[in-house]
Formats: sequence, structure tokens, C-alpha cells
Amino acid sequence: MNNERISARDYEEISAYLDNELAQEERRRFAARLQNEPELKEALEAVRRTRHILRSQPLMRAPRNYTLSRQIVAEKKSLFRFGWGIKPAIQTASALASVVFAILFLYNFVMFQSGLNRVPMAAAPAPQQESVMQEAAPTQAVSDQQLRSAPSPYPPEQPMAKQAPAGAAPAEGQPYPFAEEIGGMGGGEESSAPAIAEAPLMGVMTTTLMKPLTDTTPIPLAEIPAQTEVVPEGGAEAEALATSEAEINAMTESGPTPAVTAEPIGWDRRFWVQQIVLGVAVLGFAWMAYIVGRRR
Amino acid sequence: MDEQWLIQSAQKGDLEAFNRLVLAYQDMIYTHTYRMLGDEAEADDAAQETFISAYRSLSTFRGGSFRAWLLRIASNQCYDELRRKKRRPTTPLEPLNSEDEELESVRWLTDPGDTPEEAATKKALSEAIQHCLDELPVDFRSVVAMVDIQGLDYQDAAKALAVPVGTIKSRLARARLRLQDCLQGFWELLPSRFRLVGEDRA
Repeated sequence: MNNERISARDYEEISAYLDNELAQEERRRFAARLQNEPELKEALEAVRRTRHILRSQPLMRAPRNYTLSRQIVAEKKSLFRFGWGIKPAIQTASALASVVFAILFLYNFVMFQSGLNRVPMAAAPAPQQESVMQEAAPTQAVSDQQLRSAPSPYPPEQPMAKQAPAGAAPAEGQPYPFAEEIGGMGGGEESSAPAIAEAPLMGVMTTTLMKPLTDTTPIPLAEIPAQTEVVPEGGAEAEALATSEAEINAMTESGPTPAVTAEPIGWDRRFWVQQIVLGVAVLGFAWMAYIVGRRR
Repeated sequence: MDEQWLIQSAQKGDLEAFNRLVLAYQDMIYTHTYRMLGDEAEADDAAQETFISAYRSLSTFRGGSFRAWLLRIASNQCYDELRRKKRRPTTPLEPLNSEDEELESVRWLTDPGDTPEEAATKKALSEAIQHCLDELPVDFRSVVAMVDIQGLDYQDAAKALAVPVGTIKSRLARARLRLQDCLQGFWELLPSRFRLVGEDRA
């Protein structure tokens, strides 16, 4: 039986010592230990016996000759060609699928991240915009005060619905709030019109990304420019604001718009489906390349 | 004939040169596949496939030990076969007598070079070793087969098995320890010259 007082490390050294695979210094140190440790020497002799038995075995005689004939080689050669032809094809397909998968994954990841970033942006800006409005539009001071004194029907984190009418008037150098929310794609420093012009492109994507993250129901963007155009000046502005707020309130209470519900599959879901399909393709091609490679 | 010359000729498509190499190495390869698989028929198939694979991929041989290169191909064949066996386990159809006991293999009894006593001794020892090898994990078995049965050094064994030398060292030590334990059960079956090796050297 094994000597339990001899460690696994000692057995490794014993084995390497017998095979002459220890370095000069290690060998000298181990030989010195053998002189002083009889248990180590006993273990060495046991391993030496086992090793000797294994090494005393003669080669077995092959039951037949394995020489190859032209016929065998020719048969195998056609398979060989097939293997070599298909292997690079599978490897290339695997590499291409991996690259597309990586690009799509990164793109989807960035889009998802930008969707997450929009949530605090949409929730936070209400007080900020109020102060900006106070500074930038002194002519509206009275109407703003009136609005503030009246109980507001909106929670402070109404993103577009509240900002659209309020932000429409201060178009003087202030970015349109929704343009910022689209991740800067609409050009944050430009006037609201180009931002709105681009907004419908991103609208489906934004609403589908925003939908699970906020309870706010987006409004059709076509409504926004119409409201900005009819914004009256001076004292009539408060009325216009009240009217537009009432409209928006009615819209938010009426639930999701048909434009959103009519979208059968969101972009994010399509991305996930594509990613899964590409991931499966990558793994499948890699597995096929591995199998073909092993059969060489 | 010079091995390097035969290899180079075979790489140029000289089948006769390759067959000379086959004849030189076929016993070694068959022994290796038998020790790895523990079955004569499977070892025979694996050995044949080894030489076919070797011929097909001869262009990838970049020098070094041809024996280690062949043993690597043979080991891969054995790994494939062991995986296949694991997926589709089979029951061996050994010839049995009327009392359901396994019949003696005529292979050993008809060996013209040995007396019946010597043949029986060899058979007992070989079977004991094979039994103990079969008990080892396949990674350990392949290292023992390379180093202790084929006589490769650690470097060549590491190349043949595509593992670091340190792995060869530790696997071999642990495998020998397990074999030592296993062979204790067969110690009385072994000839006295094996039992007395340790005492002679002490």
C-alpha cells in the first residue's frame, strides 16, 4: 500500500528521480533526502518495482500488417479532399457569423444602454426647465405663476407630454427636450423643428425601449409641431397652454396610442432574435469545424 | 534505411516508403492502442486508422520525433474510440463454455516461442497490467502508455499528448501510485523476479 506519510509532491519527485527528469540541483537534494529518510527510500523502491513491471512488458505483435494500398489511399483521398474543402468554408462561416454577432450585440447593447439613460433624463428635467423658462422667457412670468398656483394635473415626471408645449415657446437656443432624449441624434443645439422632423424615425424604437421602463404613454409626435405653430403670444398663451394640457391629459388618460400597440415586434425583440439566431449559427459552425478538424 | 529519407519520400507521395515506416512502427502502435483500449479488435482498427490518418496528414509533420507524432495520432484515435464506446456501450461477446466461463484465448497458448508455463506467466502479467490500466482514468492511462510502455521521455510525451511537461510529471506519479496499489492484488501471480526487484536493489 502507499505510504501515507509521503506527500503527493514527494511521489512526483520519486517518479521524476527514477526517470532522470529532475534538474541537477533537485536531484542532488533528493538524493540527500533518501539517505536520511528511510520511508522515502521505501516508497521509492515500491515505485521502482511498479515501473519495472510496466517497462518489462514486450511490444505486442500486430495481428496483421497495416501497410496501405493504392486503393485504400485513393478511397481516403476523396474523403480527404472533401474534408479539406469544407473545413475552410465552415471556418469562414463561423468567423463571419462571430463578427456579425459581435457587431449586433454591441449595437444592441449601446441602444439598450441609451434606453436606460433616457429614463432619468425624462424623469429629472422638470424643475430645471422651470427655472430656465423663468430666466429665458420673462414675458411668460405671469402666466407661469398662474399655472404654478393652479393645481397641476400632471406628475412632475411627465416626459414629452408636459415638455412639448412648454418647450415649444422657448425655442430660443434651448434644445427641444425630446431631441435630447433621442440620444443626441436630432442635434441637441439646433432648433426644435429638425429634431421633430427626425423624431418619427426614432419614435418606434424609443417608444418600444421606453415602454417597459416608464409608465408614461408617448403621444404621437405629429401633434407637437401643430401645437407649436398655434402657440399664441402674450396673455393668450396661458389659455393655449391650458388647452394643450387638457388635450394631452385626455390623451394620457386614454391609454396607449394605436401607433404603439400596432407594432407587432419591437426593434429590441428583433435584435434579440437576431442575436440568438447568430449565436446558434456561431456555435453550430464552430462545432462543425471542430468535428471536421478532428476527422483529419 | 534512413528514417528521415523515408519520411521525406513518403511526403512526396511515395507509398512504398510510407509502408516501410508502417512495418517499422506497427507493433509499437498496436501495443499502444491495445493498452489504451484493452480490446484486440478495437486496437486493430485503431492501429489501421492511425496509419491511414498519418499518411493523410503527413504534410503536417514538421520534423522532431516521428514516433511521438505517430503515438499522438494513435492516442487521438483511441480517445475517439473511447468516446464512441461511452456513447454506445456494448457487451463483449467472449466465447463461453457450457458453464458460462470465459474460454482461454488460443492466442497465448499457441505462441511457438514460449513453453506453456512461460506463456501462462506472460499472460497473467499482461492481463494484470491491462486490468490495472483499464482502472485508470484515460488521461493517466495515456501517460503511462507513453512513458512506461513506449519509453518516451517527458518532453516527447508532453508533445504527443499536447500537455505541459509538469502535467506529465504529476499524472505519471499519480498513475504509478494507483497501479502500484492495483498490482498489489496480483502480486502473488507475478513471477518471483518481479517480486524481488525491490529486495535486490535495497
